[in-house]
Amino acid sequence: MRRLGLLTLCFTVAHAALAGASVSIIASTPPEETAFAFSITAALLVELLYRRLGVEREVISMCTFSFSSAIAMIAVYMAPSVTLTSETASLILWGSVLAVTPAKIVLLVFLVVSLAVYVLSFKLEIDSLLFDVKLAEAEGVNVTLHATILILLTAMAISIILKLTGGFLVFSLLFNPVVAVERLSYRRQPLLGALVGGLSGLLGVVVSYFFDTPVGATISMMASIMLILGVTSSSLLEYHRTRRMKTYVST
Amino acid sequence: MWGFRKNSRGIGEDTCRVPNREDSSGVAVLLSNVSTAYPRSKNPALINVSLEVEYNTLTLITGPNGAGKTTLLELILGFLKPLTGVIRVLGFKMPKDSRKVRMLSGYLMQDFMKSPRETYTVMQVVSMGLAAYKGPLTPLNEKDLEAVRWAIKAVGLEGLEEKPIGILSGGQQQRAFLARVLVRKPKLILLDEPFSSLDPEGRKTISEIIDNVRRKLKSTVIVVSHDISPIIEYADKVVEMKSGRIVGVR
Repeated sequence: MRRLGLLTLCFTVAHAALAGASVSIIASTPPEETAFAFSITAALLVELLYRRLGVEREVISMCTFSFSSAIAMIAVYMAPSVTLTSETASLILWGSVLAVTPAKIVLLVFLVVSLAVYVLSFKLEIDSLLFDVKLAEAEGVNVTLHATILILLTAMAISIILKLTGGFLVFSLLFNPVVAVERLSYRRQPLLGALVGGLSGLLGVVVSYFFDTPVGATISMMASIMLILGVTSSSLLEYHRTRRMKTYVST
Repeated sequence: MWGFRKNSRGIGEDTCRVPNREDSSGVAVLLSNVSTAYPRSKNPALINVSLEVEYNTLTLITGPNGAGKTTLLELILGFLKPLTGVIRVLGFKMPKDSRKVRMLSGYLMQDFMKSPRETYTVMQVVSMGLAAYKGPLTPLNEKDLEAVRWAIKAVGLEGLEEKPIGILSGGQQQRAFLARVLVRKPKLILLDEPFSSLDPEGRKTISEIIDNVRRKLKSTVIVVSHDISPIIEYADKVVEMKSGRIVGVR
């Protein structure tokens, strides 16, 4: 997503999901489905305006992000206090590990399999896009199609894990682990990112249990700490590598 | 050295990857009174440009910075829309049929340098040139890989196939991107400043490769460059541009 320049759009999709989930509190609709509908609508709207108006995707994304956040806040404000204190509302906004049901695990596995099938089917085109979007486009690769597929998969992932981390923090679990390992290993980034994401989740649950803090926020905090550690350790490794190089050159 | 030897296999034996689709006009690229501007720009980037590039020829486009040379290539590939005028490329109307034209073209970009952290190997990067021709679950076959190896050899990067492109010098990266153009066996080759990172010997070599390839593949080549001296001996036409206008054709 970062390489494709779709990061801001993902951030927007995550907040559109939050808006959808918040609206579901007052509209009494299924939260995940509403979140998914909102996130898909936001993604498609951004892409449509980007293609039609020629305005930068980032500008439209940030506009949609602000709009989504505003909808979320208004929906929360308008929700009856009884509903707001309900378990469902609490899960949507703040997240809970209890939201991980067998059905959700099946959905996540389905999502992972779908992603694997997609990546294996279009490996060369995806590699080409990740390497250089403009060059891939100049060579006739269908950039719009692949960007849309990736956004749809992201929207699905966000909708599924929404209740785990809560709407406010869902993006951190998608973004932080991947960026944490980016500078350490470009090639093994997908695998290491998944491992760091899993570790963040595990640590978050443990810390949350011992300190009685909200699970979603604690997992996000762990993911942020992982990101800081990843960036710091890669800088330290680079520093030592440069020092070794200087010593080698001077001798 | 170029892989065009008799009995050599791979790209050298073939014509273009896609069937010849020459229109009766005999003109591969036609721009008629074309003007264009970049979004939010106050001034037009090209003003009433008219140009005809015949099939199987090598055209050089030269001029100072800001003359509109790269803009012209972006128009040909459909990245920019014309404000006025008509553009036809390989018989297709642009920018409506951009994707069809792009499938038939090979493009060497001006801004090609990759970060030292880029880990895709030379072999992988050149293979990516075939991405648009491959359907789902269709990996590269032995013939494709042979063509990739040929293209790498043709640009003088033999032995560097498994090196990450990010650690290569600017000149070597430029050769790798040229190999990516060649492996596509394009009907139309668009090269934007192909000599910018090359030493004099490299410029001469690359000029010879370009000329060899266009003759073998019967491709139409448009080269945009400040420095046309390495390739001028192979050119059929030289177009001079200045301030968004064509000021001379010889």
